[in-house]
Amino acid sequence: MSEIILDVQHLTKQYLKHTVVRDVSFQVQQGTICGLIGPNGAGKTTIMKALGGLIAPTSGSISLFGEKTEAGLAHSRSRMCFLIETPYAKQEMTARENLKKLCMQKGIPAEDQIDRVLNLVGLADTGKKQVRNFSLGMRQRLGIAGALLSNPEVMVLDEPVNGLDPEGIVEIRNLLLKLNREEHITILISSHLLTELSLLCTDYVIIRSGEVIRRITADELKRECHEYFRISAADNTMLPAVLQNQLGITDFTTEKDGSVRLYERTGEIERISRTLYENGIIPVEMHMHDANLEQYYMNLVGDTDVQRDEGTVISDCPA
Amino acid sequence: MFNVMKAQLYQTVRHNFLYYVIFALLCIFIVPELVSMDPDMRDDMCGSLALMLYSGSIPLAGTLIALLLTTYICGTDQTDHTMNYEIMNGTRRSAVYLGRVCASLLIGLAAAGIVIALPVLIASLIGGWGPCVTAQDALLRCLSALAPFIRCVAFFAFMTFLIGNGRLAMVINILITFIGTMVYSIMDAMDFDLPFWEHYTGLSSGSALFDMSNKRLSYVGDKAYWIVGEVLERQHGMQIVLVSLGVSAVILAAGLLLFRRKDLK
Repeated sequence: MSEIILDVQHLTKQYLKHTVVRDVSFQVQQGTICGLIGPNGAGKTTIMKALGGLIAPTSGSISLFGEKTEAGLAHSRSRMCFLIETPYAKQEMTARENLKKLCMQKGIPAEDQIDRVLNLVGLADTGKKQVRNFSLGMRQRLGIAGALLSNPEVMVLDEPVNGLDPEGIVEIRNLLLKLNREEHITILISSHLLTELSLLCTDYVIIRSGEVIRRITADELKRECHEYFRISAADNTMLPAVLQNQLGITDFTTEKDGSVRLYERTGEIERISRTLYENGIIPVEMHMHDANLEQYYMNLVGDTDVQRDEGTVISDCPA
Repeated sequence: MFNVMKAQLYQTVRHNFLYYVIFALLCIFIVPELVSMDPDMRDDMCGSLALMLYSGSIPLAGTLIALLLTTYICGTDQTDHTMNYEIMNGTRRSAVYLGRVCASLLIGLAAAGIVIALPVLIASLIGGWGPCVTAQDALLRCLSALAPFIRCVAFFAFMTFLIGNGRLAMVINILITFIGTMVYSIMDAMDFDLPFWEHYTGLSSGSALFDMSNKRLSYVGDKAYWIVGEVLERQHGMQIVLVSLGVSAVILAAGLLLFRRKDLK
């Protein structure tokens, strides 16, 4: 079992009478990429700020690398890096100057580290260009470069792809995957781009209104939202029997309206529709449901307005 | 703390703000003196005479340097949230606070050295030191003035960390200094005899230490010079220094306590 390097227990943060985070508990294991998911105002940034020592929890505890004391937490933070809201960047300085200042502040030897991280994030050729003239993507990458200066074991990233163009998003995603796989950096990342998170994360913590509503691993999520094929006919009564007796399909469930969710042989749609037709069943709807994190999340938070199937329509009726 | 200080020094010398402050204060305090100077005096210019003429402006110049540079150094990283990264990187809050105060002090002293000492140095190069103020007295006054300068830096740092936004802190600190100076000037003009007035603010302490009003016209050879007599007794001067350092320590401790408990945006 991997070491638990980040342990949040019953974390609550109140501002006057307003509770922003309520009794939040979760753990992050070494080597994982944990996604903190939730809508705006759910408390993701507050949790990350508490981890970074920017805000003091009203109650509950935080443990980083097993350290809980103020001095221990500060020391543990030197093994981590954070990118919360605004990336680290002094506008009037160049990328290199920014990193040199960070090196001084962290007390690490500068030159070779700066070249290494600038190359890693693709900012090695920015020369004397001031950060004020950087694009948002370049600033984000500079923030990540700054975070990587001290060879961190853990990265805590708050919306790192926010405002980036599609190319920038892919770049950051590939960089994070590379850091996790090659440098074995554990990552806690928040975003409301769920598709993006689903391409990265191994674990998810879902938050709503300051409370954790679900913790789930990517494998569990996959099992919970595996692909299925939905078949609905003009008359659904004979549908299960035909599937079972004529086609030998057993892995399916029947919905309240009689329609069927098929979990096996989803690639044999033509044969299935022909058999149904031959048995007097007229399919009116046949959808391949591309179940994903977004759908799972929407179902979980119970937002019925958005709870719609975005599956690929194979056919509305047989040819 | 040393690393934070080093990083702040690196950052500040790379920003034009420092040079604008030095240039602006040199213009504000030197140019009027040069324009309004008696032509005879200009011919007899020497280092001690420059210091005597300039002494009324030194406390305000020092206060303004402390205000502008401390607010900039302590405030700018709060405004753009880069200071948050120091804490998130594992730097203790006390080091974040004290590192900035020390950097403000060092850069402030360097800037004050240029703004205050440069005119005196140039005048000394032109006409030597001269008899107006003894070098020993001048050195003693300058060294004693370090204490009120530290007090000003500690106060402006406290205010900046309290407000948490560099620009807003700059405005409020300027307002406080402006109102304080105005009140002090009005009271001075009205000959208000307030007890212990020299301990009230860093500016009033500096004004007391640089008070050169006790001067008489004397002949040295065939030339007449203003000779500054001793205004402050040594014990009184020491008292001002000790009170300034004591108040600085209290303000620093209060600021540190406040910053350690503060939630950062």
